[in-house]
Amino acid sequence: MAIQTDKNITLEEQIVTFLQQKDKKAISLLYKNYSGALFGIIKRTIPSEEVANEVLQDVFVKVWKNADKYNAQKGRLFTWLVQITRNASIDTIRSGRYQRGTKTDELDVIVSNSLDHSEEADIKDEGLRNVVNELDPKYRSIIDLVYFQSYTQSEVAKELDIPIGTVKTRVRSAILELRKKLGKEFSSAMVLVSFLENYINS
Amino acid sequence: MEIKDIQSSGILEQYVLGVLPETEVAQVEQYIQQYPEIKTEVQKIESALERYAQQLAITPDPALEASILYKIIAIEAAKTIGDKRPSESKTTTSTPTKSSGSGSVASMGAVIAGVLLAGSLFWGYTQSQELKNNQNQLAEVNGKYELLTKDCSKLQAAYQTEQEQIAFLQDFSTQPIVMKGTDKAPNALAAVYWNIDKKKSYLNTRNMPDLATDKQYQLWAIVDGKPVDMGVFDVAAVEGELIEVPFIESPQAFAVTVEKKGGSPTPTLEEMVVIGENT
Repeated sequence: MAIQTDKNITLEEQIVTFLQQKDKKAISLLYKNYSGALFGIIKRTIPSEEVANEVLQDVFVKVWKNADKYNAQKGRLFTWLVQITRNASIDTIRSGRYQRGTKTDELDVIVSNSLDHSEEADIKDEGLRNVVNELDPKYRSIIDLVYFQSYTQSEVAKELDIPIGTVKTRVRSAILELRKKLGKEFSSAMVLVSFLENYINS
Repeated sequence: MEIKDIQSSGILEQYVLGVLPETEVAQVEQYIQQYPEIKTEVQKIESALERYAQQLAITPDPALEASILYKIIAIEAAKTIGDKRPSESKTTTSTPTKSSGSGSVASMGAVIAGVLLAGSLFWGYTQSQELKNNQNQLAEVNGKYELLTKDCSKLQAAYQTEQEQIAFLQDFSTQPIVMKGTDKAPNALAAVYWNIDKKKSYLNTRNMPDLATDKQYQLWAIVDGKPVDMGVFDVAAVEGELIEVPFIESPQAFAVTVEKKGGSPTPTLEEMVVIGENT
Protein backbone atom coordinates (compact mmCIF):
# COMPACT_ATOMS: atom_id res chain seq x y z
CA MET A 1 0.00 0.00 0.00
CA ALA A 2 2.85 2.34 0.84
CA ILE A 3 4.45 1.60 -2.51
CA GLN A 4 1.27 2.52 -4.36
CA THR A 5 0.91 5.81 -2.52
CA ASP A 6 4.54 6.73 -3.12
CA LYS A 7 4.16 6.13 -6.82
CA ASN A 8 1.07 8.31 -6.95
CA ILE A 9 2.85 11.12 -5.23
CA THR A 10 5.79 10.76 -7.60
CA LEU A 11 3.52 10.98 -10.62
CA GLU A 12 1.68 13.95 -9.14
CA GLU A 13 4.91 15.70 -8.25
CA GLN A 14 6.27 15.01 -11.68
CA ILE A 15 3.20 16.52 -13.33
CA VAL A 16 3.18 19.53 -11.01
CA THR A 17 6.87 20.16 -11.69
CA PHE A 18 6.31 20.01 -15.44
CA LEU A 19 3.29 22.29 -15.11
CA GLN A 20 5.21 24.86 -13.13
CA GLN A 21 8.10 24.75 -15.61
CA LYS A 22 5.56 25.27 -18.42
CA ASP A 23 6.71 22.00 -19.92
CA LYS A 24 4.08 20.56 -22.28
CA LYS A 25 4.89 17.03 -21.17
CA ALA A 26 2.63 17.86 -18.24
CA ILE A 27 -0.32 17.90 -20.61
CA SER A 28 0.45 14.48 -22.05
CA LEU A 29 0.86 13.02 -18.57
CA LEU A 30 -2.32 14.67 -17.33
CA TYR A 31 -4.21 13.47 -20.37
CA LYS A 32 -2.92 9.94 -20.02
CA ASN A 33 -3.77 9.68 -16.35
CA TYR A 34 -6.81 11.86 -15.75
CA SER A 35 -8.65 12.67 -19.00
CA GLY A 36 -10.98 9.68 -18.61
CA ALA A 37 -11.97 10.45 -15.04
CA LEU A 38 -12.51 14.14 -15.81
CA PHE A 39 -14.43 13.38 -18.99
CA GLY A 40 -16.63 11.01 -16.97
CA ILE A 41 -17.42 13.87 -14.60
CA ILE A 42 -18.16 16.30 -17.43
CA LYS A 43 -20.49 13.81 -19.09
CA ARG A 44 -22.60 13.64 -15.92
CA THR A 45 -23.70 17.24 -16.38
CA ILE A 46 -23.21 17.49 -20.13
CA PRO A 47 -24.27 14.37 -21.99
CA SER A 48 -23.68 15.94 -25.41
CA GLU A 49 -20.42 14.48 -26.71
CA GLU A 50 -19.63 17.57 -28.72
CA VAL A 51 -20.11 20.04 -25.87
CA ALA A 52 -18.36 17.74 -23.40
CA ASN A 53 -15.35 17.59 -25.75
CA GLU A 54 -15.14 21.36 -25.73
CA VAL A 55 -15.38 21.51 -21.96
CA LEU A 56 -12.59 18.97 -21.56
CA GLN A 57 -10.34 21.08 -23.78
CA ASP A 58 -11.23 24.19 -21.78
CA VAL A 59 -10.31 22.34 -18.60
CA PHE A 60 -6.84 21.48 -19.85
CA VAL A 61 -6.25 25.03 -21.07
CA LYS A 62 -7.34 26.38 -17.67
CA VAL A 63 -5.08 23.91 -15.88
CA TRP A 64 -2.20 25.09 -18.03
CA LYS A 65 -2.94 28.78 -17.50
CA ASN A 66 -3.54 28.50 -13.75
CA ALA A 67 -0.80 26.02 -12.93
CA ASP A 68 0.83 28.46 -10.52
CA LYS A 69 -2.37 28.65 -8.46
CA TYR A 70 -2.24 24.98 -7.51
CA ASN A 71 -1.09 24.54 -3.93
CA ALA A 72 -0.13 21.03 -2.90
CA GLN A 73 -0.51 22.04 0.75
CA LYS A 74 -4.25 22.46 0.30
CA GLY A 75 -4.98 19.21 -1.43
CA ARG A 76 -4.10 16.66 -4.04
CA LEU A 77 -3.75 17.44 -7.71
CA PHE A 78 -6.84 15.48 -8.67
CA THR A 79 -9.03 17.42 -6.24
CA TRP A 80 -7.88 20.62 -7.90
CA LEU A 81 -8.48 19.20 -11.37
CA VAL A 82 -12.01 18.22 -10.36
CA GLN A 83 -12.70 21.75 -9.07
CA ILE A 84 -11.65 23.22 -12.41
CA THR A 85 -13.67 20.61 -14.28
CA ARG A 86 -16.82 21.23 -12.28
CA ASN A 87 -16.51 25.00 -12.65
CA ALA A 88 -16.00 24.65 -16.40
CA SER A 89 -19.08 22.41 -16.67
CA ILE A 90 -21.20 24.78 -14.61
CA ASP A 91 -19.99 27.80 -16.59
CA THR A 92 -20.98 26.05 -19.79
CA ILE A 93 -24.44 25.31 -18.46
CA ARG A 94 -24.89 28.87 -17.20
CA SER A 95 -23.61 30.39 -20.44
CA GLY A 96 -26.73 28.93 -22.04
CA ARG A 97 -24.71 26.98 -24.56
CA TYR A 98 -26.20 23.97 -22.92
CA GLN A 99 -29.16 23.44 -20.58
CA ARG A 100 -29.05 21.21 -17.54
CA GLY A 101 -32.76 20.66 -18.03
CA THR A 102 -35.57 20.71 -15.51
CA LYS A 103 -34.00 19.35 -12.42
CA THR A 104 -36.93 17.44 -11.00
CA ASP A 105 -37.41 15.50 -14.20
CA GLU A 106 -33.73 15.02 -14.53
CA LEU A 107 -32.98 13.65 -11.12
CA ASP A 108 -34.37 10.19 -11.67
CA VAL A 109 -32.48 10.02 -14.89
CA ILE A 110 -29.30 11.07 -13.18
CA VAL A 111 -29.60 8.52 -10.46
CA SER A 112 -30.54 5.67 -12.75
CA ASN A 113 -28.00 6.83 -15.30
CA SER A 114 -25.27 6.53 -12.77
CA LEU A 115 -26.32 2.96 -12.21
CA ASP A 116 -26.16 2.31 -15.93
CA HIS A 117 -22.89 4.12 -16.18
CA SER A 118 -20.87 0.98 -15.65
CA GLU A 119 -21.79 0.17 -19.22
CA GLU A 120 -20.44 3.38 -20.62
CA ALA A 121 -17.58 3.87 -18.23
CA ASP A 122 -14.40 1.93 -18.86
CA ILE A 123 -14.44 -0.27 -15.81
CA LYS A 124 -12.08 -2.97 -16.90
CA ASP A 125 -11.86 -4.77 -13.61
CA GLU A 126 -14.82 -6.85 -12.53
CA GLY A 127 -13.88 -6.25 -8.89
CA LEU A 128 -14.00 -2.50 -9.33
CA ARG A 129 -17.34 -2.68 -11.06
CA ASN A 130 -18.68 -4.37 -7.96
CA VAL A 131 -17.44 -1.59 -5.72
CA VAL A 132 -19.41 0.90 -7.77
CA ASN A 133 -22.50 -1.25 -7.96
CA GLU A 134 -22.40 -2.32 -4.33
CA LEU A 135 -22.56 1.24 -3.10
CA ASP A 136 -25.97 1.99 -1.62
CA PRO A 137 -27.94 3.96 -4.27
CA LYS A 138 -28.79 6.69 -1.77
CA TYR A 139 -25.05 7.23 -1.24
CA ARG A 140 -24.29 7.05 -4.93
CA SER A 141 -26.85 9.66 -5.78
CA ILE A 142 -25.50 12.02 -3.16
CA ILE A 143 -21.89 11.67 -4.37
CA ASP A 144 -23.02 12.03 -7.96
CA LEU A 145 -24.98 15.17 -7.27
CA VAL A 146 -22.46 16.88 -5.04
CA TYR A 147 -19.13 15.69 -6.40
CA PHE A 148 -19.85 15.22 -10.07
CA GLN A 149 -22.66 17.65 -10.70
CA SER A 150 -21.75 20.49 -8.33
CA TYR A 151 -25.10 20.64 -6.59
CA THR A 152 -24.92 22.64 -3.38
CA GLN A 153 -26.07 20.87 -0.25
CA SER A 154 -29.25 22.91 -0.11
CA GLU A 155 -29.97 22.08 -3.77
CA VAL A 156 -29.55 18.40 -2.93
CA ALA A 157 -31.88 18.80 0.07
CA LYS A 158 -34.51 20.31 -2.21
CA GLU A 159 -34.04 17.70 -4.91
CA LEU A 160 -34.15 14.68 -2.65
CA ASP A 161 -36.70 16.32 -0.37
CA ILE A 162 -34.70 15.65 2.79
CA PRO A 163 -33.54 18.08 5.50
CA ILE A 164 -30.16 19.75 4.92
CA GLY A 165 -28.86 18.16 8.12
CA THR A 166 -29.52 14.73 6.64
CA VAL A 167 -27.69 15.74 3.48
CA LYS A 168 -24.64 16.64 5.52
CA THR A 169 -24.64 13.39 7.50
CA ARG A 170 -25.27 11.40 4.36
CA VAL A 171 -22.34 13.03 2.54
CA ARG A 172 -20.02 11.82 5.28
CA SER A 173 -21.57 8.35 5.48
CA ALA A 174 -21.37 8.01 1.72
CA ILE A 175 -17.66 8.72 1.68
CA LEU A 176 -17.00 6.45 4.66
CA GLU A 177 -18.88 3.68 2.87
CA LEU A 178 -16.90 4.31 -0.28
CA ARG A 179 -13.61 4.22 1.62
CA LYS A 180 -14.60 0.97 3.29
CA LYS A 181 -15.49 -0.69 0.01
CA LEU A 182 -12.45 0.64 -1.82
CA GLY A 183 -10.20 -0.34 1.07
CA LYS A 184 -11.39 -3.94 0.92
CA GLU A 185 -10.96 -4.13 -2.81
CA PHE A 186 -7.69 -2.23 -2.64
CA SER A 187 -5.99 -4.47 -0.11
CA SER A 188 -6.90 -7.63 -1.99
CA ALA A 189 -5.57 -6.10 -5.18
CA MET A 190 -2.35 -5.15 -3.40
CA VAL A 191 -1.87 -8.70 -2.14
CA LEU A 192 -2.15 -9.90 -5.71
CA VAL A 193 0.25 -7.24 -6.98
CA SER A 194 2.91 -8.01 -4.38
CA PHE A 195 2.48 -11.74 -5.05
CA LEU A 196 3.06 -11.11 -8.74
CA GLU A 197 6.06 -8.92 -8.03
CA ASN A 198 7.63 -11.62 -5.91
CA TYR A 199 6.88 -14.16 -8.58
CA ILE A 200 8.45 -12.07 -11.34
CA ASN A 201 11.50 -11.12 -9.31
CA SER A 202 12.26 -14.63 -8.17
CA MET B 1 -12.26 21.43 18.50
CA GLU B 2 -10.74 18.05 19.18
CA ILE B 3 -9.22 16.18 16.23
CA LYS B 4 -11.85 13.44 16.62
CA ASP B 5 -14.63 16.03 16.50
CA ILE B 6 -13.18 17.61 13.40
CA GLN B 7 -13.01 14.24 11.70
CA SER B 8 -16.56 13.28 12.57
CA SER B 9 -18.09 16.70 11.88
CA GLY B 10 -18.18 16.09 8.14
CA ILE B 11 -16.45 19.36 7.27
CA LEU B 12 -13.42 17.54 5.84
CA GLU B 13 -15.64 15.68 3.37
CA GLN B 14 -17.39 18.92 2.49
CA TYR B 15 -13.98 20.59 2.03
CA VAL B 16 -12.82 17.97 -0.46
CA LEU B 17 -16.17 17.96 -2.25
CA GLY B 18 -15.90 21.72 -2.63
CA VAL B 19 -19.18 22.49 -0.86
CA LEU B 20 -17.82 24.00 2.32
CA PRO B 21 -18.70 27.69 2.83
CA GLU B 22 -15.78 30.07 2.11
CA THR B 23 -15.61 31.11 5.73
CA GLU B 24 -14.90 27.57 6.91
CA VAL B 25 -12.44 26.70 4.16
CA ALA B 26 -9.67 28.75 5.74
CA GLN B 27 -10.36 27.02 9.04
CA VAL B 28 -9.94 23.56 7.49
CA GLU B 29 -6.77 24.66 5.72
CA GLN B 30 -5.41 25.68 9.05
CA TYR B 31 -6.35 22.30 10.59
CA ILE B 32 -4.54 20.56 7.73
CA GLN B 33 -1.36 22.51 8.47
CA GLN B 34 -1.71 22.12 12.17
CA TYR B 35 -2.63 18.44 12.58
CA PRO B 36 -0.92 15.67 10.58
CA GLU B 37 -3.88 13.37 11.39
CA ILE B 38 -6.26 15.78 9.70
CA LYS B 39 -3.96 16.05 6.70
CA THR B 40 -3.90 12.25 6.38
CA GLU B 41 -7.66 12.04 6.78
CA VAL B 42 -8.20 14.62 4.03
CA GLN B 43 -5.82 12.73 1.76
CA LYS B 44 -7.75 9.52 2.36
CA ILE B 45 -11.02 11.21 1.45
CA GLU B 46 -9.37 12.64 -1.66
CA SER B 47 -7.98 9.26 -2.67
CA ALA B 48 -11.33 7.54 -2.21
CA LEU B 49 -13.09 10.07 -4.41
CA GLU B 50 -10.29 9.98 -6.96
CA ARG B 51 -10.48 6.22 -7.22
CA TYR B 52 -14.26 6.41 -7.46
CA ALA B 53 -13.99 8.95 -10.29
CA GLN B 54 -11.36 6.80 -12.03
CA GLN B 55 -13.73 3.86 -11.91
CA LEU B 56 -16.41 5.87 -13.66
CA ALA B 57 -13.99 7.19 -16.27
CA ILE B 58 -15.14 7.54 -19.84
CA THR B 59 -12.36 7.62 -22.42
CA PRO B 60 -12.64 10.79 -24.51
CA ASP B 61 -11.88 10.94 -28.22
CA PRO B 62 -8.09 10.41 -28.43
CA ALA B 63 -7.86 13.24 -30.98
CA LEU B 64 -8.64 15.72 -28.19
CA GLU B 65 -5.13 15.40 -26.81
CA ALA B 66 -3.69 16.83 -30.02
CA SER B 67 -6.15 19.68 -30.18
CA ILE B 68 -5.43 20.54 -26.53
CA LEU B 69 -1.73 20.63 -27.30
CA TYR B 70 -2.32 22.87 -30.32
CA LYS B 71 -4.28 25.28 -28.15
CA ILE B 72 -1.53 25.38 -25.59
CA ILE B 73 1.19 25.79 -28.20
CA ALA B 74 -0.86 28.67 -29.62
CA ILE B 75 -1.25 30.28 -26.17
CA GLU B 76 2.47 30.04 -25.51
CA ALA B 77 3.40 31.27 -28.97
CA ALA B 78 1.09 34.27 -28.61
CA LYS B 79 2.31 35.07 -25.12
CA THR B 80 6.03 34.81 -25.23
CA ILE B 81 8.41 36.84 -27.28
CA GLY B 82 11.91 36.56 -25.99
CA ASP B 83 10.86 34.26 -23.19
CA LYS B 84 13.94 32.62 -21.88
CA ARG B 85 13.68 29.11 -20.71
CA PRO B 86 15.94 28.43 -17.80
CA SER B 87 18.13 25.56 -18.78
CA GLU B 88 18.48 23.65 -15.64
CA SER B 89 21.37 21.39 -15.27
CA LYS B 90 21.73 19.80 -11.98
CA THR B 91 24.98 18.11 -11.28
CA THR B 92 25.07 15.55 -8.60
CA THR B 93 28.39 15.18 -7.01
CA SER B 94 29.11 12.05 -5.18
CA THR B 95 31.68 12.19 -2.49
CA PRO B 96 33.85 9.14 -2.45
CA THR B 97 33.92 7.56 0.96
CA LYS B 98 37.31 6.92 2.38
CA SER B 99 37.63 3.75 4.29
CA SER B 100 40.21 3.48 6.98
CA GLY B 101 40.42 0.15 8.66
CA SER B 102 42.64 -0.84 11.60
CA GLY B 103 43.94 -4.42 11.71
CA SER B 104 41.91 -6.14 14.46
CA VAL B 105 38.46 -4.84 13.43
CA ALA B 106 39.20 -5.36 9.73
CA SER B 107 37.18 -8.58 9.38
CA MET B 108 34.29 -7.13 11.33
CA GLY B 109 34.50 -4.10 9.11
CA ALA B 110 34.41 -6.34 6.04
CA VAL B 111 31.19 -7.99 7.25
CA ILE B 112 29.52 -4.67 7.90
CA ALA B 113 30.76 -3.37 4.57
CA GLY B 114 29.34 -6.48 2.91
CA VAL B 115 25.94 -5.97 4.51
CA LEU B 116 25.94 -2.31 3.60
CA LEU B 117 26.99 -3.15 0.06
CA ALA B 118 24.22 -5.71 -0.33
CA GLY B 119 21.72 -3.25 1.10
CA SER B 120 22.80 -0.45 -1.13
CA LEU B 121 22.81 -2.76 -4.15
CA PHE B 122 19.22 -3.76 -3.40
CA TRP B 123 18.25 -0.14 -2.80
CA GLY B 124 20.02 0.81 -6.03
CA TYR B 125 18.16 -1.93 -7.87
CA THR B 126 14.73 -0.81 -6.74
CA GLN B 127 15.65 2.81 -7.45
CA SER B 128 16.86 1.94 -10.92
CA GLN B 129 13.63 0.02 -11.61
CA GLU B 130 11.67 3.08 -10.55
CA LEU B 131 13.90 5.29 -12.65
CA LYS B 132 13.49 2.99 -15.62
CA ASN B 133 9.72 3.13 -15.29
CA ASN B 134 9.79 6.91 -15.17
CA GLN B 135 12.16 7.06 -18.11
CA ASN B 136 9.98 4.75 -20.16
CA GLN B 137 6.94 6.86 -19.47
CA LEU B 138 8.88 10.00 -20.32
CA ALA B 139 10.17 8.50 -23.55
CA GLU B 140 6.64 7.52 -24.48
CA VAL B 141 5.35 11.00 -23.75
CA ASN B 142 8.25 12.57 -25.64
CA GLY B 143 7.58 10.40 -28.66
CA LYS B 144 3.92 11.35 -28.63
CA TYR B 145 4.84 15.01 -28.27
CA GLU B 146 7.15 14.87 -31.27
CA LEU B 147 4.46 13.21 -33.36
CA LEU B 148 1.99 15.90 -32.34
CA THR B 149 4.46 18.65 -33.17
CA LYS B 150 4.97 17.10 -36.60
CA ASP B 151 1.21 16.88 -37.10
CA CYS B 152 0.97 20.48 -36.08
CA SER B 153 3.48 21.73 -38.64
CA LYS B 154 1.79 19.63 -41.34
CA LEU B 155 -1.53 21.22 -40.45
CA GLN B 156 0.06 24.65 -40.44
CA ALA B 157 1.43 24.09 -43.95
CA ALA B 158 -1.98 22.90 -45.17
CA TYR B 159 -3.62 25.87 -43.49
CA GLN B 160 -1.22 28.28 -45.14
CA THR B 161 -1.91 26.79 -48.59
CA GLU B 162 -5.63 27.15 -47.97
CA GLN B 163 -5.21 30.72 -46.80
CA GLU B 164 -3.33 31.53 -50.00
CA GLN B 165 -6.05 29.93 -52.08
CA ILE B 166 -8.77 31.83 -50.27
CA ALA B 167 -6.87 35.08 -50.80
CA PHE B 168 -6.55 34.17 -54.46
CA LEU B 169 -10.27 33.47 -54.80
CA GLN B 170 -11.16 36.71 -53.00
CA ASP B 171 -8.90 38.73 -55.28
CA PHE B 172 -11.13 40.90 -57.51
CA SER B 173 -8.85 40.20 -60.47
CA THR B 174 -9.61 36.50 -60.19
CA GLN B 175 -12.08 35.47 -62.83
CA PRO B 176 -13.89 32.14 -62.80
CA ILE B 177 -14.40 30.36 -66.10
CA VAL B 178 -17.08 27.78 -65.48
CA MET B 179 -17.21 24.60 -67.57
CA LYS B 180 -20.50 22.72 -67.80
CA GLY B 181 -21.03 19.00 -68.36
CA THR B 182 -21.58 17.64 -71.87
CA ASP B 183 -23.97 14.78 -72.78
CA LYS B 184 -21.25 12.37 -71.65
CA ALA B 185 -21.33 13.70 -68.07
CA PRO B 186 -24.33 16.03 -67.60
CA ASN B 187 -23.72 16.53 -63.86
CA ALA B 188 -20.02 17.25 -64.15
CA LEU B 189 -18.81 20.77 -63.42
CA ALA B 190 -15.42 22.38 -63.47
CA ALA B 191 -13.98 25.85 -63.20
CA VAL B 192 -10.67 27.52 -63.87
CA TYR B 193 -9.98 30.50 -61.61
CA TRP B 194 -7.85 32.75 -63.74
CA ASN B 195 -5.95 35.82 -62.55
CA ILE B 196 -4.20 38.03 -65.11
CA ASP B 197 -2.43 40.16 -62.45
CA LYS B 198 -0.95 37.24 -60.57
CA LYS B 199 -0.48 35.17 -63.72
CA LYS B 200 -1.87 32.17 -61.90
CA SER B 201 -4.78 29.80 -62.36
CA TYR B 202 -6.39 27.03 -60.37
CA LEU B 203 -8.74 24.22 -61.41
CA ASN B 204 -11.70 22.95 -59.41
CA THR B 205 -13.87 19.97 -60.42
CA ARG B 206 -17.09 18.40 -59.24
CA ASN B 207 -19.01 15.21 -60.13
CA MET B 208 -16.50 14.06 -62.69
CA PRO B 209 -17.09 10.35 -63.40
CA ASP B 210 -14.46 7.81 -62.31
CA LEU B 211 -12.24 6.57 -65.10
CA ALA B 212 -10.67 3.25 -66.02
CA THR B 213 -7.13 2.99 -64.69
CA ASP B 214 -5.59 3.43 -68.14
CA LYS B 215 -7.40 6.76 -68.67
CA GLN B 216 -6.84 10.27 -67.32
CA TYR B 217 -8.56 13.62 -67.63
CA GLN B 218 -6.76 16.28 -69.62
CA LEU B 219 -7.39 20.02 -69.40
CA TRP B 220 -7.23 22.11 -72.56
CA ALA B 221 -7.24 25.86 -73.12
CA ILE B 222 -8.54 27.13 -76.46
CA VAL B 223 -6.33 29.99 -77.66
CA ASP B 224 -6.92 31.54 -81.09
CA GLY B 225 -9.22 28.63 -81.87
CA LYS B 226 -6.51 26.04 -81.17
CA PRO B 227 -6.33 23.62 -78.22
CA VAL B 228 -3.35 24.03 -75.86
CA ASP B 229 -2.40 21.17 -73.50
CA MET B 230 -2.75 22.17 -69.84
CA GLY B 231 -1.82 18.86 -68.27
CA VAL B 232 -3.52 15.71 -66.99
CA PHE B 233 -5.15 14.93 -63.62
CA ASP B 234 -6.95 12.17 -61.74
CA VAL B 235 -10.30 13.13 -60.28
CA ALA B 236 -9.89 10.95 -57.20
CA ALA B 237 -6.86 13.01 -56.16
CA VAL B 238 -8.27 16.47 -56.78
CA GLU B 239 -12.04 16.34 -56.21
CA GLY B 240 -12.99 19.13 -53.82
CA GLU B 241 -9.50 20.64 -53.88
CA LEU B 242 -7.99 23.42 -55.91
CA ILE B 243 -5.07 22.40 -58.07
CA GLU B 244 -2.79 24.87 -59.65
CA VAL B 245 -2.68 24.63 -63.46
CA PRO B 246 -0.42 26.45 -65.93
CA PHE B 247 -1.33 30.08 -66.57
CA ILE B 248 -2.20 31.00 -70.12
CA GLU B 249 -2.75 34.47 -71.62
CA SER B 250 -6.11 35.24 -73.27
CA PRO B 251 -7.87 31.86 -73.25
CA GLN B 252 -11.13 31.80 -75.21
CA ALA B 253 -12.36 28.68 -73.50
CA PHE B 254 -11.36 25.71 -71.32
CA ALA B 255 -12.37 22.07 -71.75
CA VAL B 256 -11.64 18.69 -70.23
CA THR B 257 -11.46 15.47 -72.21
CA VAL B 258 -10.84 11.84 -71.33
CA GLU B 259 -7.54 10.67 -72.78
CA LYS B 260 -5.22 7.73 -72.43
CA LYS B 261 -3.02 7.83 -69.35
CA GLY B 262 -0.37 10.54 -69.63
CA GLY B 263 -2.42 12.63 -72.07
CA SER B 264 -2.66 13.12 -75.85
CA PRO B 265 -1.13 15.79 -78.12
CA THR B 266 -4.61 16.75 -79.38
CA PRO B 267 -7.98 16.45 -77.65
CA THR B 268 -10.36 13.59 -78.50
CA LEU B 269 -13.46 15.73 -79.02
CA GLU B 270 -15.95 12.84 -78.63
CA GLU B 271 -14.55 12.31 -75.13
CA MET B 272 -15.12 15.86 -73.94
CA VAL B 273 -16.82 15.96 -70.49
CA VAL B 274 -16.94 19.69 -69.68
CA ILE B 275 -16.46 22.90 -71.62
CA GLY B 276 -16.81 26.59 -70.81
CA GLU B 277 -16.18 29.85 -72.66
CA ASN B 278 -14.32 32.82 -71.25
CA THR B 279 -16.92 35.55 -71.67
